[in-house]
Amino acid sequence: MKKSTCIITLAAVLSLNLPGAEKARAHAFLDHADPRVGATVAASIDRVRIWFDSVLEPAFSTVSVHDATGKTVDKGDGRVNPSDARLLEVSVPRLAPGTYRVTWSVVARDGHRTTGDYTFVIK
Amino acid sequence: MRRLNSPVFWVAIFMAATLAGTAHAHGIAGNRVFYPTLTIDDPAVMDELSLPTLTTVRQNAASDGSAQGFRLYDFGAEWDKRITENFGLAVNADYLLQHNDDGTTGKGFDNFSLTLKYKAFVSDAHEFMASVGVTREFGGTGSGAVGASANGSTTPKIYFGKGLGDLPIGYLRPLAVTGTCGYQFSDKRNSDPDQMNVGLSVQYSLPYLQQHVVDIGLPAFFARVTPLVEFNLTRVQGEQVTGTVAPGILYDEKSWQFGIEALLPMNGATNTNVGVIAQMHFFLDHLFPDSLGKPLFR
Repeated sequence: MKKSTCIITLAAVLSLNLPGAEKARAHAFLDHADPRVGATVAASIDRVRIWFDSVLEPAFSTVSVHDATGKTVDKGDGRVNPSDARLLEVSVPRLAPGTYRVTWSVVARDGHRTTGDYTFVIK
Repeated sequence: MRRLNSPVFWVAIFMAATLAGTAHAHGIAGNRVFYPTLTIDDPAVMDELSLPTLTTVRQNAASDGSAQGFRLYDFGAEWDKRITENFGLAVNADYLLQHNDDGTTGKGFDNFSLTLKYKAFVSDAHEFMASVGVTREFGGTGSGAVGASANGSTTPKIYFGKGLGDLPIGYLRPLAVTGTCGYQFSDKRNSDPDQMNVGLSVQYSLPYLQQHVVDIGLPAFFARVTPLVEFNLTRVQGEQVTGTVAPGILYDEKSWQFGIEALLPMNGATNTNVGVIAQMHFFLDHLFPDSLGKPLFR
């Protein structure tokens, strides 16, 4: 068999042997957030919400909000929204003006973990 | 090397890949994703397939008349397979078409090569990744009609990637640098001298900008684009440095990536015109997390 034929054969084998049920799934990355990444908001907020581009595993997905000194300021009720498995949210008390950092650690349904952070400012 | 030429070898590799393992992957260090680059290897160890990588470039005739000019078309493929979470191998094959100025055409495979790579260190906080590896080019497995050497070579390499997201530099935080450096030991130095290969990429990740610095409301397409420049330098022992500068873009769609770059000659000694390289890249850990996309052993 020629080598070029061999490569084509390999590609065909890959496509045939891999079950259709194994449709594309992936790491979960931030799609958008409220407050928006890097935003300055005029008034205080009551919660932080992050939408991801993949469905999350609720038992292994967490989110926290920290102030400029690193102290956790959220209410500790971070969770994946029961009616939207791409939405991770946490409540916060009335926040004083300043810079806040949101950190998250999420596991997509296929078991891939991603972590990340961003900041926003309360004016 | 006969094994690599055999379809039995490929099928055996495939079967082994589907038998065991666990999932987890991608070139991630904290907030940073190190995307596969086109002319140099990235520091990550992943399950991925580059198919095809298409390159065309015109090589000018040697100024002393010792070699005629030609246009080269390269149809490349690379399959990367994790053996463990941090250790993997890659197989490369390139089919070449060479249209010579005298009207003749040479065609055939370049030598096959096999790379072993170990991801030695990752710092999530500092968006840093370092790996070591070795590439073995199997001499005589390609066609002499396209200049494949009858001699093999062995190239130990180091790889690194560093994102600048941990620095207080605002809109420059999406910048990242990746690089590789290798010394190619030829099997027969009198006919094929040793050479040093250095590669570097400078990337500005728009996904990183949107996700971790500031959401500037980029349209969906641009939020997946990473502009970059790759530098590739080669110094054959006793000769002048040659190389390319390759500006282009990567478009990442999570389970696949498309990249295209211009290939600009770095100096006169490189002796090429402007070329183009384009690549389709598939992330097998995303596409097939329960089979091909996971390491053989955890």
